Amino acid sequence: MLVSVFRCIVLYIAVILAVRIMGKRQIGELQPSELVITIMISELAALPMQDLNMPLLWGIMPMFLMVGLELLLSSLTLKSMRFRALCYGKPVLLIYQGKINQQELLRTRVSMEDIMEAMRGNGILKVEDVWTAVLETNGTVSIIPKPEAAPPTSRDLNIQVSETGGIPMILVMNGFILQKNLLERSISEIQLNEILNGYQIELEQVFMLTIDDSGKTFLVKQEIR
Amino acid sequence: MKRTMVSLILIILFILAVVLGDLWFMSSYAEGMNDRLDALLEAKTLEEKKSCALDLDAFFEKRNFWAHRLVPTGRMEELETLLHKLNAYLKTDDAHEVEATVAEIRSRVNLLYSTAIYHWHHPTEFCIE
Repeated sequence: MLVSVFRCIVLYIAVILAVRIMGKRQIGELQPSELVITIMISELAALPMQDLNMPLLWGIMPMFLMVGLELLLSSLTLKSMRFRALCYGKPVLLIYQGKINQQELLRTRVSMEDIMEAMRGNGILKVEDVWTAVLETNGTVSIIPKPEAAPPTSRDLNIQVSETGGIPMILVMNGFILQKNLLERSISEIQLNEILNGYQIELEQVFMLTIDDSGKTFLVKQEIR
Repeated sequence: MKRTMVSLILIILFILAVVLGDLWFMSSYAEGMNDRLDALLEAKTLEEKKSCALDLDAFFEKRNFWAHRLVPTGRMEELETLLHKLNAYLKTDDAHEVEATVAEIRSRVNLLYSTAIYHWHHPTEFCIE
């Protein structure tokens, strides 16, 4: 039984490592080959976990071989557009300039229900409001509305808006100072203490403290101890 | 891109290490076992045979850890059982059974090789004299 526990831990670490090497993607955005590799990695990890007769290397080696092949394939697709089209396919225009391309719908086996589902996800209810619908290589449908059906931007309304403060950075989390982020924002611990004094709060009482590019801070107190 | 290339190179090195390590280990393992089995068969006296059997057991034990990393546990256990059987037949000085067990151990050792490469390099021959 101890062998089984040890194998589970080793294979768990190996799967995490393999998925980290492959890079960050959400399941819905994976290319077909990436989805296949992800499923195969989990199958390969399960085999030596269940069958104690099988050497651990027989599961780990094929797993990393799959990851290596995927890395090679994705690198080659970056270098060659033709190879990328061969492996991943090309996006297909299902609706263009408001006109439904029925031939492409038939060829790609996409129904109008699939398109309307994508439309609802984008907040569009009427087909006549769609300018372009694209079937992407990962199987999702992108919807671009007609200009008259799209929400107006501040530019369209000729409204002057203030600049955003940029991406906020966490300085303190659960009472712990994130030194790397302090360094990134060139804030010393003395300055941090001054910020905390401004909020009249101790470091241990801080759940989260963020700062944006304009120097504006945001603090959340600890509720659970 | 740099991170991808580094990951790819490390993975290739790992796979090469495992594959070449497997080929080298199994080749030397099979050769070592076969040499000791040959020495056992060529031994004239019972004492010499027992000494060769001890040498065979020692070799088996020495390589056991890495053999278990590369070969299914079931096959290694079968081999271990046959070695115990060989020792039992040597104790009773049953020459025919010793020869038959040695032949069985030899065939199992040669079949241990995970790929067919060993068979191509050292083809087994069926022979009845």
